[in-house]
Amino acid sequence: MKLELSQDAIQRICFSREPSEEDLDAVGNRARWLLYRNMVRARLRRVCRVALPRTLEAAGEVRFDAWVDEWFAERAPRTRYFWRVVAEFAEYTRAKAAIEPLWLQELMRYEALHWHTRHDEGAPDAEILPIDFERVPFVNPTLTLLELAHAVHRPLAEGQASYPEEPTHLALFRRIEDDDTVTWSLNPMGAALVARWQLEQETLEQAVVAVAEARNASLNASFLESLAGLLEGLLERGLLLGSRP
Amino acid sequence: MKEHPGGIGIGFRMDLAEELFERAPDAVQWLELHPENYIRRGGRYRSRLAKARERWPLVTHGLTMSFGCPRPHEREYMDELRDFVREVGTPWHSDHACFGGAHGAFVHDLLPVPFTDEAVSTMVARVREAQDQLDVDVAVENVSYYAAQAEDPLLEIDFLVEVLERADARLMLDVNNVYVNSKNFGFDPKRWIDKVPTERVVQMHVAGHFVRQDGLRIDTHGEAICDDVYELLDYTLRRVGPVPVLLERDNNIPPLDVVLAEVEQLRAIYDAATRGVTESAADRATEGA
Repeated sequence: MKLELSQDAIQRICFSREPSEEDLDAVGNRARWLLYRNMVRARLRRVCRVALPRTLEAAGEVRFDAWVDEWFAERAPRTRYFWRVVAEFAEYTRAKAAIEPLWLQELMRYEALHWHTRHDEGAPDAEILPIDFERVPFVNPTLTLLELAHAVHRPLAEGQASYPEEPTHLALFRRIEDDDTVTWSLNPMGAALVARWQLEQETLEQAVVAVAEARNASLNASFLESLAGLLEGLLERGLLLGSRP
Repeated sequence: MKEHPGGIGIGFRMDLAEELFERAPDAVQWLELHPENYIRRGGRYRSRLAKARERWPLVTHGLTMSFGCPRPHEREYMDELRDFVREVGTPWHSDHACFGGAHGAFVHDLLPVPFTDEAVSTMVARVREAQDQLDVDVAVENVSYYAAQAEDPLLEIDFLVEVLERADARLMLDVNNVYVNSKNFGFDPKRWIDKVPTERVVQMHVAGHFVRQDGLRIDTHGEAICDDVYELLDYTLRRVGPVPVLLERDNNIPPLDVVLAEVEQLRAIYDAATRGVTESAADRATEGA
């Protein structure tokens, strides 16, 4: 049997829902290739379980494992970077599997993003200057904003079986100084401002004016006071690093 | 610039990194790391890598180059790998005599290839590509396997030697893998070692393995090294000479003191077996096999 054909058969043995008799016959050593199938699947399944513990608990092991099996059979890992396997699984499953209720889908999205933020590359690419309204803001390069219909970043309270609807804006990022991954909940205005600053196309002041106009907010004393508090919090937590040169 | 690796090294594990930095034990002379754990990655992996570079010589050992794959290496990965091995200053880069997936998928395991002429040609082509695309010597590691790849298991070493000779490549000799395969397929591991072209060996691996109830041995890197493997290492070092030896521990990682005790045991074997022999792996890597 040609090498490429035998490797195709072995890959199917590893990832298909049930390995075919034809493939097992073709490669021989049936029991040992089934052992490989178990080892390959167990390792990949384990990293998904470790990375998404609350999704696993909420969905239950049977349902979670069925999603993993579906992903193996229909897509399989396309990344050579083991830590990125989780994002591929979550992305595929959210797109293809009927995950109900919606909060469970959002929980998977949140946990997968948290894992990804913890590991993904991203470091300041230029000198960071003190915050200045006349300069382009320097936003943490690992930041991702997430808009959800449920506050899934908070664990379910004891006795609570599901999340009520609660529009939620989350900022996930990795702190530069200690590499800790942080989740911060923002109000809609705060989320809009951070999203605009993240574009890094205009000065901090220009972005504030544009967002306020778009949301029909008056730049009065109360707004400016809230803005000062927001900036202080963002800088303190390491979401906003300062200004770009 | 750090010296070439020599003596006993350990795999650079996040679980042990902080304590390793704090104690910086002299017994650990160099570190091995998997580029796939660092390329495109940030956070603690990157910051700890930078710290490790300041203290130890580093050697890279890949997991996904898949020398047994009939398709050419993914160019994007090879470019990133080339940059990475330059960055860490490794004297050679090794990966496995296996295949790890096809058609863009990755099994994230080291699956064996049959010991056939077609597989030799495939592997020679992949190793040569790697040599062309990286700036360092390329070493091929023998893998442990559980499905027979030939009627005579000793054909594995003939297969490997042909790959090494035709590709003019180095050997990353995994002593534990030789032992595991010898027990699983019933051959004398010393006969296997006797056929190794010693001048091509740049590094060795030793590790612990798991013995199932049915007797099958699985290369887990999650147990203590067994006495037979220590003995085979001694035999191998006496034949090959003082090439750097890595203790692989990737699962069930014990406290650092337990790892260091194994390192000390390896060191004693290494010193006794290589006393009086001065040629190093670095000499081989720079002078040619």
